[in-house]
Amino acid sequence: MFDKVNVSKIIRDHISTLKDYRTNKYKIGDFILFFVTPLFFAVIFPYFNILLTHNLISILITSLSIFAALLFNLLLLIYDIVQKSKNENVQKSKNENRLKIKFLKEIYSNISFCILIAIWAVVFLILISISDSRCSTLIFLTFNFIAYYLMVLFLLTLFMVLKRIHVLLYKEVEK
Amino acid sequence: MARYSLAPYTIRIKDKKSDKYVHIDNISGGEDFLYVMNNYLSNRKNSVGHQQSQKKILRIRRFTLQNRIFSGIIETGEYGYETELFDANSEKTTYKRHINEAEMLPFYLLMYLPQNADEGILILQRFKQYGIRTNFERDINEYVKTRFSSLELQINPLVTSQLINEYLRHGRVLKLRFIRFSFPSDIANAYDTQDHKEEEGYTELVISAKRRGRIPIIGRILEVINGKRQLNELIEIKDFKYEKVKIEIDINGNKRTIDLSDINKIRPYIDITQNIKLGDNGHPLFNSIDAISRELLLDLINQIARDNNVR
Repeated sequence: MFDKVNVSKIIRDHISTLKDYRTNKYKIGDFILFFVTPLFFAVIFPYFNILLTHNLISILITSLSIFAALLFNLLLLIYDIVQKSKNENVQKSKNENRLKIKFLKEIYSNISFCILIAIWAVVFLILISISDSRCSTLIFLTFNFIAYYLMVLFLLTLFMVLKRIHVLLYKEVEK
Repeated sequence: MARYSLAPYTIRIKDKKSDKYVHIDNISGGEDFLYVMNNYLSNRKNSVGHQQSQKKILRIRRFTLQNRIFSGIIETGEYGYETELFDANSEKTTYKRHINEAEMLPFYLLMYLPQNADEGILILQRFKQYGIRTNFERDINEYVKTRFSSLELQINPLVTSQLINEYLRHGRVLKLRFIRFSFPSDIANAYDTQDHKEEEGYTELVISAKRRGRIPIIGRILEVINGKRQLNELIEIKDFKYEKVKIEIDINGNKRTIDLSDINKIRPYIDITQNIKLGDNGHPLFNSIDAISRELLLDLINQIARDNNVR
């Protein structure tokens, strides 16, 4: 029943991009950076009572929505580059082709994951907005925790996407 | 004098979807590759294989099948340039070959496709420096793809411990050199730079073989050469991940370096020039080359069995 909204492949594909290129094995450092660091902020902020206000929630929802839309556009850009790569008649070594395809696939997965996190973050921000007076403090704090976690994760993944897009487009311009 | 040799290969079929090698007698839904090969060879007997981009022609002159062993003659030729045929006796040009005419040379082939195995043996004749492996592999794959789009036939040089022993019997391993490339850990950086520089591994291993002795690493070298072991698993060196291994061998005072990451440089050809009988057309008599090849096949089967037991 939930097949059409099953996004687990997006998560799996993104996680598989966190491998060391040399050894093709997962790097503990990457997992700490992307999944443990947001945890740190998600615990610290509510602990010190730095909670999300209505104003801040509005701004964050607007920003995340704009980012999500832009990231959707980026997906199309990557698709365009993939199509161009297939039609290119340039003599490239097998290794170069393999690297480019792998790189494009990874960027695609990263962008999709970023969009997914943005959507979830928006959902939880809306939940916080409607829950403060109606729910218990524990639920309110939990939503804050999750929202902070998702936003920091979104930010870190966005940096990763930015770096990769920069490298990709720079190389395209260089040709 | 023209030299004739035999080149042994392994023949395997890979399923690209599962990335695994399939059994020869069950390549897809119970189908035996033996019959696929039989159909291919029959097909090629009646119509030529024409690789237009390479300007090459391939056809089967004859073949037989007995006990899962094919033997026959393949003819291949190349066109695309003119040549003059010159009579050595009359010292006159007797014919001008046109640009779209190919000179067809015959090559012997022997193929063994066992049951309950994912690997067969192929022996192809070589004539001077000419071989047919690449053309043959390409042509078969075009045929296989039309029937099984996810399957790919692979023909790789067959190197047995006997060949390695040949090197080591007359020489000794002086040095194992481990080389590490400075690849970055992030694929983005790798894509950005797309080059690498070699830096020599700082660890040197010297292994010396005594006469008639055994070198402990030979089994692993063989596994790497035959694609059954990863190169970086040849020897585990703590804190040093290498990507290339070069073996320096001293053969009768001459040093030779073999790059294990480039096995195509190892040429396991068996020279049979002195053992075969030539016909009036200057090419080996079929029965003569067939007998020698079948002996070699038996030898290879035994060698492979021995190598597998050693591991």
